[in-house]
Parts: sequence; structure tokens; C-alpha cells
Amino acid sequence: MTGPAVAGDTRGLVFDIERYSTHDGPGTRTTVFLKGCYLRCAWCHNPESEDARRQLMFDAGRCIGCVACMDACTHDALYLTDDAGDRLSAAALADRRAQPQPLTGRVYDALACQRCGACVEACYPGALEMVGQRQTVEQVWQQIAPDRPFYQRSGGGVTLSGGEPLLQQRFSRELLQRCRAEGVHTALDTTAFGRWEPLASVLPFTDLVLLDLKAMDADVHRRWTGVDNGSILANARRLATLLRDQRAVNETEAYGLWVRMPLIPGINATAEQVQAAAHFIRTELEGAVRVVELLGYHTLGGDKRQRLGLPQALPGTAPMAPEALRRQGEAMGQLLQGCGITVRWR
Amino acid sequence: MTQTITPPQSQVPEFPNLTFDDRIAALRATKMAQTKEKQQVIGAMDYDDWPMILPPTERRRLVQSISGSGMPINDVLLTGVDMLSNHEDGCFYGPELCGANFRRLLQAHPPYVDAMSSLAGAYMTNFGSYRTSGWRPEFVVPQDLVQLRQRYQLVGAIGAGQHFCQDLGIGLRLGFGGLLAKINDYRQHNTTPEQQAFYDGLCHVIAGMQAWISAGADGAREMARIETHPQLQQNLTEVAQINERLVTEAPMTFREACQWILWYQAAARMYNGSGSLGRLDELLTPFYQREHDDGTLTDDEAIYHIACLLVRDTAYIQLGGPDAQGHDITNAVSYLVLEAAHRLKVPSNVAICVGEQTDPGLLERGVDILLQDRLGHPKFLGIEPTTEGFMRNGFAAEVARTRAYSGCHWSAIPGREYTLNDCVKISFGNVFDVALRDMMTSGQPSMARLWGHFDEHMDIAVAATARSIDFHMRHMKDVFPELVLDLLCYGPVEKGVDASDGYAGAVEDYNMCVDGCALATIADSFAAVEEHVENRHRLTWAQLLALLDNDWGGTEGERFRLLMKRTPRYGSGGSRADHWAQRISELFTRTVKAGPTPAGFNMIPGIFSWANTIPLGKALGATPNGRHAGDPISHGANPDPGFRKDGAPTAMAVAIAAVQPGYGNTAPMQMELDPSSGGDTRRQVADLIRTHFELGGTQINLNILDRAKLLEAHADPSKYPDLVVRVTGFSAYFASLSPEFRQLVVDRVLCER
Ligand code: SF4
Ligand code: SF4
Repeated sequence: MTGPAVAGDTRGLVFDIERYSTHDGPGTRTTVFLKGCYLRCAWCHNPESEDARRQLMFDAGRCIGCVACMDACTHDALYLTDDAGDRLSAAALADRRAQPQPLTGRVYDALACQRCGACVEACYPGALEMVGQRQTVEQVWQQIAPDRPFYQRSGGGVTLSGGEPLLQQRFSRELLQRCRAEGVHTALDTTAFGRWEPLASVLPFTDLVLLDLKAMDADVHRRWTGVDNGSILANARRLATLLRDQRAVNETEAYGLWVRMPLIPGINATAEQVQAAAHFIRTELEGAVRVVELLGYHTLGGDKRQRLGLPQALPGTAPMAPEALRRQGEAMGQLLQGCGITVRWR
Repeated sequence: MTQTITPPQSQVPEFPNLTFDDRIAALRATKMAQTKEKQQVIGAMDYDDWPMILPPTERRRLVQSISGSGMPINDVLLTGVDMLSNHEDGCFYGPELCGANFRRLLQAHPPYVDAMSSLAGAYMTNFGSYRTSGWRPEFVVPQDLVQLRQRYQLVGAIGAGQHFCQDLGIGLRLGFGGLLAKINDYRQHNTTPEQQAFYDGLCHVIAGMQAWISAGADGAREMARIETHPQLQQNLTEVAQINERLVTEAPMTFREACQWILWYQAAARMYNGSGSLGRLDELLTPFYQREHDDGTLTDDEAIYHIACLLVRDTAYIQLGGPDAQGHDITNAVSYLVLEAAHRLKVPSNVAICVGEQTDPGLLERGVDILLQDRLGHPKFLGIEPTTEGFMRNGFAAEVARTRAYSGCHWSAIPGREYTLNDCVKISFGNVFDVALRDMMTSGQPSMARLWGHFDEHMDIAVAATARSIDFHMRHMKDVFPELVLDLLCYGPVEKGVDASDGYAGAVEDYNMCVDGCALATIADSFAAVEEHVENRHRLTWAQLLALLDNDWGGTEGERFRLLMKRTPRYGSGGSRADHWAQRISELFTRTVKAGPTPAGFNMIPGIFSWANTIPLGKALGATPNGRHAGDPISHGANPDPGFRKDGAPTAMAVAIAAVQPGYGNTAPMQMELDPSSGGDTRRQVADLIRTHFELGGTQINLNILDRAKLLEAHADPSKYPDLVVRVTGFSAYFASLSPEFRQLVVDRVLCER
């Protein structure tokens, strides 16, 4: 379906655009990551997606200690302290300017910070990054468009991910609509948390929904994501009812519903949780789901947490062992046998 | 009879019944041992894995030399060959003596016979390394041209050899006896002293080759006499018989055709480094078809013979692609050649044509092998963009389609086109450097003026290159003529002139290569200057120049270097640097295509730096993209490593497709992919290849490399002696490369995702 033309000047807060993305739906894709999320999954590998505002990220490994950022900040949000915790004097700071040394006692006052970006601009080596850029639908489209021949050849397209794209409902809808109008396959990666309406509003422009199912057990879900899974499951059911019809219209797995489940050792990577998920998919979503993907936990998000100044949420949790992942994947495959669902894991 | 060289007996397994695969495995093991010995004796080898073997210990002499591609190399001479000189400088020049000396070398060259191989022959030295001077002193390069070449650090043209493609079909039809008869026939008609001297040279080459082949036959006969393994004895007897025939006769069988090509190829390599086979599948097809239909040749045996050929040279080979009428020629032999390279698992330069008309099965099989072997082979050719591009020089489609892939990044019409491909380089880096300094000494600096000066100096650099090409073609025949390639071209024998003599129109077409280099380095430099000097005023023009002169020295210098370095790069997509890269490529193309050389020879622009990234980098001061003085320039048409956070291959493919000069010469894409990326890798890679070509890309060199393994091998190369990488257009053992060169490969891989 091709919707009416969109003006393209609606802005969204985008934190990354990944080209040659091969894990978020079929074929070669471009994944647009939107900032802001309802959930706070402890294992999130994109922790910079959670906060719905722009955020300053600091990479200590690249910092040369030049203090240019502090000189640039007119809001008193960045400064240095000495061993006693007192603010460094102007003279001491001048010394640093002349003789750079590794930054110790760096203080970043997130409350005072106006997210003006002056420090990012000033920083010579690019050790500071403002995560989240306000971009128009048109600007994002311009970054999606060059890879169109690759989408066509590979059966790929665009995936909106996050964070939770539905937090920026209007922008998401218009971007999906724009892609659709350009003949590009569209996928939405969503937690499906919250009200039904935002989800419903983008569905007319969405070819494929990637639904993230974090845990079936309500307590586990609440404990590790911070929210209840009631609305997620309810929305999933409604989605399935709608998409069941689509399946009859379009037979390929690139259309309809995929369910994706992260498997976190010690949290939800258990036989019971996998069984519960399989049971739910079988009984409530059957006929709509084409693919189930199990995503083994990896520790990549930890490094980003550090750069955002966030505490590690899952210290000590090891990545999912490939062997264990395979076993869970095979079990899921068994449980969903005969449903016409492909089960994959990675 | 000279001593026959044969690999150590320990390589011969003892099982009674040797399969073809057993023998291929033995060939590989022998090659490994020979490579290790070369690494010990010669040291780093930053070039194609030439399968030269070392002379016997008592006949070796290490020398510093210049390769056929113009790079300084360590080389080994075979001693016991007295080269005659016809010049007071002690060197030898011109066809007669080049031919005579080459003949002396061939006559003194021990034959090489490996009982495991169905083919005899290998070479042990480079004839070029016996030349004590690269250019004949009385042909004085005009002083102003010397200065211009120095000013812009122009590489090549004058004195460059080979880098065009012979037509092996001529040799397969005539054999050495037939070639000799042909020469004797034409020399009756072309009777000037110059022509006679040229024919003398050609006859020397043939006589030398015949002696060499004959010695090979004798060696095999002798080995057969003492061989106890019945299969090997049988093989050696056949080798002797075949080569006794090939001294004069044209090959009759598939195996003989492979053997003939091997001798010719070994001689061409030894003479001046030529490594072009061109369309091997087409050349071997008549032989294969006959024996296949008779039931006298199985595919396994054919693969084995091809493997015996490939193990002795990393020659450049095209598989598939259109015939003159545009019909894809992919056939069973195309697959057999691919299979032979796959079973052999040593460096090879087999390339597959990819296009709308080309058999898709060949691409699929090629990608399978690429992913499975992880040896950087095969490589991929965008046959439609290069054919259509070549037509823009004024050639009919029927002619353009016959251009055959035959070198690192290049193609040529077999036997009909002289090109100097890959031998003529203009570094945008030096043009930029001169332009920047020029601008600073006159008036108010600005981006617009910088571009104006860049344009002006590009013009001067291209004009100086064109003059260099003319100068080369005026004299090369009297310096170091192409005696081996001449034998299999249309024109030189018929007219009695060397192929390099464009003025005499020795071959049909002269399409001279002019490659641009340092594209990413300079596109990123323009973008960095624009962003931080012109737009944001972070530093002044004068400051910039001072920092460059000072190679970003001091605290301040390093800060600004980092600042300039973080400007969005060429390849990031839609950036200013992407814009500058396209603009530079367009300017370069326009300038090269503005007209022919002063003498009227067509020039064709391409973008490729080959192994010159290191020497051209050494000849260039610091650049505004944050590069230090002397560091390597960017690789070919590739963006610099780290061009995007996600390192997206699609972004790279789009960027490189957008900077193609578009006249038939290439701007290849060099890509390294991590095999662990998951998903349907095979389909992803095939899609990537097809789409890059659909966008106008011309050639793809792909490595499937495991990061961890590469890093380990970098730290201790001896750990993975059999690790093969596609360094650029060529492939080589990683352990054979210098640390500097290995670093380049490692940097590329680390920065990809
Ligand atoms: S973003 Fe602006 S306010 Fe915040 S720390 Fe940087 S300079 Fe200061
Ligand atoms: S400007 Fe950048 S490099 Fe300098 S102290 Fe600040 S963060 Fe570190």
C-alpha cells in the first residue's frame, strides 16, 4: 500500500543508522535506531537507546586530556576536581591546557548540561559524542536511499529499531510511509509495550513486525525490564489476529510477524521460559508468526554503559554459550513443529 | 646436460596408488617448502607470490634489483651465466643482445622436473636483475620533464615492461617450430638492419626456449630411468615424450597445451615478469572438448593438469565473460580451472566474470570457494561496466568484449593492445601538495582557489605523464624490448618491430594506462580543510601549512591532527569527503580524456595504487586528513579504514561505484569480510558483488579473514605459513610480506566491522 506523500520535515531523535545490517529482518537492510524506550532491560546492548533525550557519551580511551571541552562549556556542566574533590583552580586548569595529562577527577553534571554540543565540537580527538541527532524524515531517507539496489537484490529493506520506535510514533509512521512510497520493504522492531494505538497507526506502512518477547513470566519480566508484560502479550495477540490474514496474502517470510527472544543466562535462558514462550506462540500467535529467533546474550553493551557513565547492569554474566543456545533453539524448534514457523538462533 | 632440479624425495609419499588429489597435495607441500626457503633466503617479498624457485645453493647470488613492475626488490641470480654487454655502462640494450643474453640464461638454466607433476618446468631467477641499468643513458629524458616528474613524484611509464597481454592462441596453434618458421618467413620481407636485429632477438629467445624444453625432456627421461614407483615412472616417461615433441611441435593434447603454456609463461615471467594468461578457459576448450568427447580425459585428470600449471605461476586468469558477439563463453573448463585453484589452495589470481549475461553458477561456485578456502580467491570482474566503459574510447562492442583480465587490476585485448597497465601512476597527494603551496604564495587562500590550483596542477601532472609515455614508446625497443610477448602478438613479427614501438604501430591499439592514487587521502584532506579551516575557523591556512611542514609535531600539532582526522570521511555516505572524492575523480578523468598524448596515443584513466601505497606515501609529506608524512597513501579507490563506524560494505560499494572513471580501466574495490558475520553469508556476498557491479563498479578483491588468526599471524608469521591474503589485485602468503605490508592488511581488517 502506498500512502499519501509525506512532507518529510517531521523530526525524530535518531542515535544510529546502520547500513549493511543483516540481523534485523530479511536480506541486506539499513537499521534506523531511535532513541527512547519504555523498558530498561538489564542486558540491553544499546543502552544509549533508553533515555529519550540526547546524551553525552565520553570515551576515556580516546581522551587526550586537553580540557578543551571544559573551556567550551558555558553551563558549568564539565569540570575537573583535585584529589580532595575540590574544583581545580583556573591556574591549574591553565597548566593542564599547556601540558595535557590523562583526565582524573573529571566531573560531568548531567543535570546542569544543556546538551548544547559545544564540548563535542571543541574536542579534538572526538572523545565526546552527542548520542541522538534530531533528523527529519527526509534527512534519514537520504541515508537510506543509496543502498536501495542492495535491498532490491537481496530482498532487504529498512528496519526501525531502538529503543522503542513507537515512542516517536509520528516520526516512525512517516518514515515507514516514506520508505513504502519509495518501494522499500519496511520492518518495525518493537517491544509492543503500552497502548495498542501507536502500534496500530504504523501497521499500514509496515511489512514485517519484529516483536521482542523478553520473558513470559510476569515477575521475571518486571524484575529485569522494569515493566509488566501484560500489555505486550495483549498487543501481540491483537497483532496476530490482524496479521493472520496477511499471511494468506503474502506467503514469503518477509511479511507478517517474527518473534525475537533474547536468551540471558541466569534470567530467562531456561527450559521453562522457552517452553512458556513456545506455548504462547503456538496457542496465541499461530498462523501469524513466520520466524522465531533466539538471540544469545553477548556483552557488547557493557562498554557503552561505561562511556555513558552508567553502572554495569549485569556484571559477571557470561555470554550465552553457543552450545547452550543451540540446545534451546532445537528445543524451540521441536515445540513449534508443524506450525509453519522457522526457528533460528545466533 | 645440466643438473635437473627436483624437489626433495621426502615429499614423495609411499602409498602405491597415487590419486590426483594425492599428487596435488604433494605439489602444495613442495610449494610450501620452496616458499619457506625463499622467505629465509630473500626475506620479505611484497609482491605477487611469484612461484620462482631458488637456484641450487652453489649457484645463488643475492642482488638488489627492480621488478618488472618498477619496485625495488631483493632477488636471486643464477650464477654461471655470462651476460654480454654492448654498452660502456656494462649493461646490454636492444633486441639482438637482449635476445642473445636471454638465450644464454635459458641454456644455463637447470630444468625442473617434479615427479608428482604432469608438467615440467620452473624458473629460478629474473632476467631483468642481470640488467645493471634500467634505462639506456643516451636516451636523455628532457630536463624539464625530469623536474616535473620529480615535482609530482610521477611514477613509471619510462622503462616499464610487459603489462599487456599476449594471445596464447598463436603459440598453441604454431608451437615453437611454427613460430620460428613464421619469423623466418617475415624476415625475408622486412629487411632493414633494425628489423633484422629484432628478428635475431626473437630467434634467440626461441632457440633458448627450445634448449630449455629439451633439457627438461632429458631430465625427465633420466629421472624415469631411476624411478621405482611405477606410476611416477610412467608420468616421467610421458613428461619426457611430451617435451621432446614440444621443442618444435604445437601441442596436440590438453596436457600438452598446459605444458606449452607453462614453458611460455615461465619464460615470460623470467624475461620481464609478465604474468598474463587471459582467458584460459577459452584457450583450453578445444583441447578439452576433443578428449572429453573421446573419453580420453576425465575431469579429475583435467583439474590435475591445470593444478600443475597453476602451482607454477600465479598468472592472472579470466573465467567466463562474453565472446566478441556478446555470448557468455562460460563452459566446463571455466569450472575446472576454478576447481583446480580450489584443490591446490595456494595463492592464485583467478577472476570470475559477473554480469547479467554471465552464467550465475560460476559466481555461486566462486563465492562458495571464497568462503570455504579463505584464500582471497577467486576475484570478481564487473564485465559490463568495463566493456561499456572501454567502448567510450571509440571501440566497437565486438572489440571491447575481447579485452581479457590479465593483471592485478587490468585487462587488455590479447595480442592486439599495448597498455603499460598498472605502470603509470599519478598521486593526487603530490598534486594537492604542490597546489596548496602554490596557492599559499599567491593571494588570499580559499577552498575555491585551492581547487583551482589543484585543477591546474592536475593538468600539468597529466601532461607530463603523457610526455613520459611518448618518450618511453620512442625508445623502449632499443632499451629492453618485449621479445617474449612479441612472439604471440599480432603485428610485431609481421612488421619486424617491438610491441612497445607505438610510433611504428607495432600492434593494433595503444591504450595507455594512467592511474590516479591517494583518492581517499586527498578527498578526506579537502573535506578536513573545508570543515575546520574554511567553515569553522579552528585554524588558519597559514597555521595549517605550518602544521603540515612540521608533520603535526608538538602538543598543538597532535591536537589538530586528531581534529582533522575526525572529519567525516570518503565512504561514510553523503559526506563532504564523498563529494570531494567524486569531484577529484571527475576532474582526473576529464583531464586524462581531454586528449591523447602529444604523439597521439589514447590514454585511459583508472584509480589504483597497487603496492605503490607505501613508496608513494614515503614521497609525500603530511596531509590535512591527519596523515603523517611518509605514511602510506590510501589504497586504490578504497576509503581509508575506519570510514564508518559500522564499516558497512554497502557504503563502501556505493562510494567506490561513484568514483569510477568509466573508460574501461578499473577502480577496484578491496574488501575484507569477517566470516563470523552470520546469516546467509554466501547469498550476502554474492548480492554485494552483483550490486556493486550493477552500480558501475569494475572489480572486486575480497578477503574472508578471521581477525584473531590474522593478528596472531602478524605477531608471528611462522605460526600460519599457509595463510594466503589478497593484498591488493594480487595474492600472496601473509608470511612472505614485510611487516610494513602486513600492517596495511591488518589495519584494513581491524577497521572493518
Ligand atoms: S553539552 Fe553543552 S552544556 Fe553539556 S557539557 Fe557539553 S558544553 Fe556543557
Ligand atoms: S576535549 Fe576531548 S580530549 Fe580534550 S579533555 Fe575534553 S574529552 Fe578529553
